[in-house]
Parts: sequence; structure tokens; C-alpha cells
Amino acid sequence: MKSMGATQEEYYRGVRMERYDLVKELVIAVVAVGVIALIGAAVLSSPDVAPVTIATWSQADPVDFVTTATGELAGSSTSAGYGAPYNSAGPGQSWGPIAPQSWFGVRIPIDSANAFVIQPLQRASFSNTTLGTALSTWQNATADQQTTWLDAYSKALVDATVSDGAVAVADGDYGPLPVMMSNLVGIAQAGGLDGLLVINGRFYQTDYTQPLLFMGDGGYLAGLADQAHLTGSLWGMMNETGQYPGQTWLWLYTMWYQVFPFNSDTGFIGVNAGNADLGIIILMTLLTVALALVPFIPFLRDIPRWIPIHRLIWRQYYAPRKGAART
Amino acid sequence: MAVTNSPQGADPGAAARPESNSWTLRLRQAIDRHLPMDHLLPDRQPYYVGSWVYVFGVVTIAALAWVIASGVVLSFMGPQWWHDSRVGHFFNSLHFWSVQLFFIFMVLHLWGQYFMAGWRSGRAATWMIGVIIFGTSILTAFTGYLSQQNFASQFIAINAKDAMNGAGIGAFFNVLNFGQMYGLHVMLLPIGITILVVAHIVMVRTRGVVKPIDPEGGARP
Amino acid sequence: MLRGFKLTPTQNVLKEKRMDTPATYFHWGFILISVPNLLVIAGMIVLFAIALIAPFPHAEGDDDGGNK
Repeated sequence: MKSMGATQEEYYRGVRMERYDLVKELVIAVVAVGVIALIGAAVLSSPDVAPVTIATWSQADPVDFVTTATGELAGSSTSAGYGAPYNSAGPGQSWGPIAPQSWFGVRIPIDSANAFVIQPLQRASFSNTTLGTALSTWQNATADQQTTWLDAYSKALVDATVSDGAVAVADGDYGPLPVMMSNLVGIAQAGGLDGLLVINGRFYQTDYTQPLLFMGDGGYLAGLADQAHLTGSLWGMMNETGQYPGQTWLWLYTMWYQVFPFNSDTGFIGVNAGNADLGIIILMTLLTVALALVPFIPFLRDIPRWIPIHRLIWRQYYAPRKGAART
Repeated sequence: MAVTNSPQGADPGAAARPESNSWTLRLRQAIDRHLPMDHLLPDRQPYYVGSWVYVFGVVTIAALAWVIASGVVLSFMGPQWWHDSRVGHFFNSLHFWSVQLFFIFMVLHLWGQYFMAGWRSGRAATWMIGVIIFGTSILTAFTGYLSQQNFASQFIAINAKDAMNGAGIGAFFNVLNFGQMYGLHVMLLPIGITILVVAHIVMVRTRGVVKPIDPEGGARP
Repeated sequence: MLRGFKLTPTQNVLKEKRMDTPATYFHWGFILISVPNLLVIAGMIVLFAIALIAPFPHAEGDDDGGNK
């Protein structure tokens, strides 16, 4: 690089200079942008739809709540079979030898069945002998017996009814599951599970990994998101609740999820819907690097020369009569 | 210090070229040489600087000033304030719309610089820093959306974790951890953006505004 | 993407405020975008076009004579 202090004079030698008040321009800009932002804030407000709690979830849709909790026990929920960084139950996303999800291992260990169902119930069974007995029956049962109960209970939940917030299923042999689940619903509806899932023994809490994973396993929050047009097939990441613009700048990122091969089960050269997240992050990284390197990429850096938008911006410079004023 | 650090004494010619030893003096002279005040705050611009497209850069800075000002108020009062109080919610709204304007103007500035091929004549690094600012801003906004503590935050977190985990980033950058996202949003990323923006402006002022695209010339950096 | 264990119809607990009712969506082929997002993008294109075309006020009393 040349010494630019010297070359700025050289660079502009012979170029006509005009008065230009940068500071005045900045002050006007700050005032003007402030006025627009203040009007936006005063007239249009901003989105702030109340968050879903486990209490509201279990009150509004107790069947979905119990179905989800049963899925956690059965190991059939999304989080139970997720893989890294929560557990080693799933392989995680990979593309050929590129498997960053499994490279870093289980960094945020979460045992869904224990964390979301068994441990909260154990804490609640302190003065509840019925629940205590049900829990020991469950824990002393063989894995086969547990699976039989879970299968039967899951099937029965499809036709479950709700009365007074309690979930009722047809008679059958579900072992201790109905007692466990009615207690879990009770704790959840009272707001206790919201606290039990962030409990960490250190009083202050700022980490919501467990309750968010648990709610993500259920259908209630996803259903609300679907109503608010936030879901993935609706380009969810760039959308916002209500009539507000969202993260519009994520349009390119969210677009890839809607196109081949990222939306296809069969895919192309090993990229498909199953590893779309990994594929799209790699693609977006490459595109961002390419954007940064535009000055060095022959075709891309020549487009502005071919498209005469610069002739509008510098129309004074290109005006034929002023040709003499150039250089 | 003057006693122990006395290489001048050993070199009788040093008085004639004091800049060779004083780091302070050398830094000052380098600044004078590369970015004298009349380059940092010029009162004149080449006559071809005469389009509203040039204004997108300065309005982006103006929007950033409002983003930072409203963000400082929000972080001072704490995360409950913007849900519980009308004034708090108003500042939340001001932050929201400032951010929308910041991104709108930043992208317009990017379009403008692209079609002017603003990276020519030694300005490639300025362009590249600009792209890094764009990326860092997206990350900052993302952590901001996760820090809102509302329904959108919950849904964005639950969805985004899959993308982050799939790429291995989630092992270190846990979008479900409010404390981590909030800390990054109010501290590390804004400092990063501010430093990068200052560097970007200094680079622009050091080199001055690029000349129009010469019909015969190229678009090389 | 969210792979829910089970999807059930849910009651609308979203606040019934004018700006908080879900936005209308513009659907064209595989493109599905909310009207507010579309307005932002359209507004940006319009603003860019105006910036290209609108005359820019020049400072009165032009300085001539090349480099100062």
C-alpha cells in the first residue's frame, strides 16, 4: 500500500473541489432518522407478544402436554433423540466427512426423560406418597414393562379427554403412568414446572435451555407459531409476530430452505432436507466470503461497470458538455 | 525513566532525527502523514460527490447512533422494564425501529457502493470491513431478537438451535441460553460494531471518495 | 426446523391488538413473504431509485481550481 496521505492530494490533483459540510450533514441525518424512529415508536409501537410458559401450555392443551411428557419418557421426542450437543442419541447432521455437530460432542448434556419428567416428579413426591409409590413402581419396573405401559398409554392419549384441566384416558393397564402424568400436569398448571426446569442449585437463573427444549418437543408452541406465520415452511426466521417487519435481512438465508436440494428428501451430492441446516450455513459462509472478496472476483467486480447505474449517480461527471472538466 | 532509557546519549546524531526513537512522536507523525485533520474532516469534496446515494452511509451512522442510544437506556433499566412499563416499551419500540432503519440504510449503502465499485484504487479493505460490519450487525440483531423475552424470541430460539447445532456452533453459542445471548447483545457485539465502524470511516476519510468509473478503466481494487 | 412430536390445533392466545394480529402473506411460487417484510424491501428499492434520480443540492459558491 502506498502512503495514502500523500496520494489523496495526488489522487485529487486537477479535480474540481466543492464546499461540502460533512458535520452539518451528519447532524441533519441524526435528527431526521431520529424523527422517523420516534414516529415509528410512537405510532406503530413494537412487537411484544407474551411468551408461552409451561403453565399456559399445560392449561391450554393438557393432552399435548401429557403426550409430549410421555414421549420424553419413551425417548421418542425430538430432544430425546437429538444427538449433540444435548446427548448421544442421534448422529447429528453431517455432509460426507464434515460433521461439526458431532465433532464437539455433548457440551450441554440433557437427559430428556429425567430432566423433564422424573426429576421434577421426584422433587414433588416429597410429601406425596401416592406419587412416591408410583415413581418407585416406575423405576423398579423392567424396561420392557415400561415400554408396554408407554405404548398403551400413548395410544390411549390419542382419544384422551379433558375435564377440569385433567387428562382422562380409556381404562387400561398403564402402570403408574396416569398417576405420574396427572401429578406432572398439576405441577405444570400451577407454574411449578416452569421453575423446576430452570432450577440449577445456584438461585439466579438465565439459562432457559431445558424449558425451551421441552416446549419445542410439544405441539402447542409450534401451533401458535403456525398461526403467527412464523414456521419454517413460511420462511419463519425472517418473520415477526403481528404486522411488523422482521429480520428481513435474513431473506437469503431463509430462502435456501425452500429450494432444491435443501427441501428435498433425496437431495443432491449428499445435501438434502436432513442436513439442510449444515449445508445452508456452509453455503451462506461461502457467499459472505465471496461478498467480502467481490473486489478481487473478476466477473462480480465488473458488473457495476456494465450496468450503467453509476452513470446516474455521476451524471454530472459523464455529461458530454462537462467533459473538459474531468480528470 | 529518562535516565535508564537514554540511547540518545549514546548517539550524538539523534537530536537531528528525534522521530527515530520516540514511539509517541512516531505515532503522531504517522497519523499526521496518513490522516491529517483536513482529511478526517474535509470541508470540500470532489464535484462529482453530488448524489443522494452518497447520503446512505451517513444516515446508516445516524441510525446506529439511535440504536446505541436507545439500547443503552434499555440495558440501563434492565430486561423487565421494556415489558412492564409504558416508557420502557416506548424505548423498546424506538430501539426496534432504529434497528430496522439501520439495516435498511446499511443495505442501501451497500447497493450504492457496489454500483459505484467503491473498492477501486486501494479501497478493497474498506469494502471488506464493510461486509464484516454487515455480518456482525446481523449476528447482533439475531442475539437481540433472542433477548426480547417474548414469544418471537422463544420461537426463533427453538428454530435457530437446529441451524446452530447442525453447524457445530451450538456447542458454544447456545441460543436457548438467555444470559449468553443478552451478554453478547449488549456488550461484545456492539463494541465490535463500533470499533469496525470507526475503522471503516477512518479508511474512507484516509483515502477520500473514489473517482467515477472510467469508461476505459477497470473495476479492480 | 421444528419437528414437533405432535401438532394439535391451538387456541389463539396472541393478543388481539391491531398491530399484533398476524400479517397477511404474499405468495408467489416458492416465495412466501409477509406484507410488512415486502413493504420494507419495496420501500428500499423505491428509496434507492429516488436517490438515483432526485437532484442533489450543491453548495452555493463553488470552489474551482483543483486541489486546494
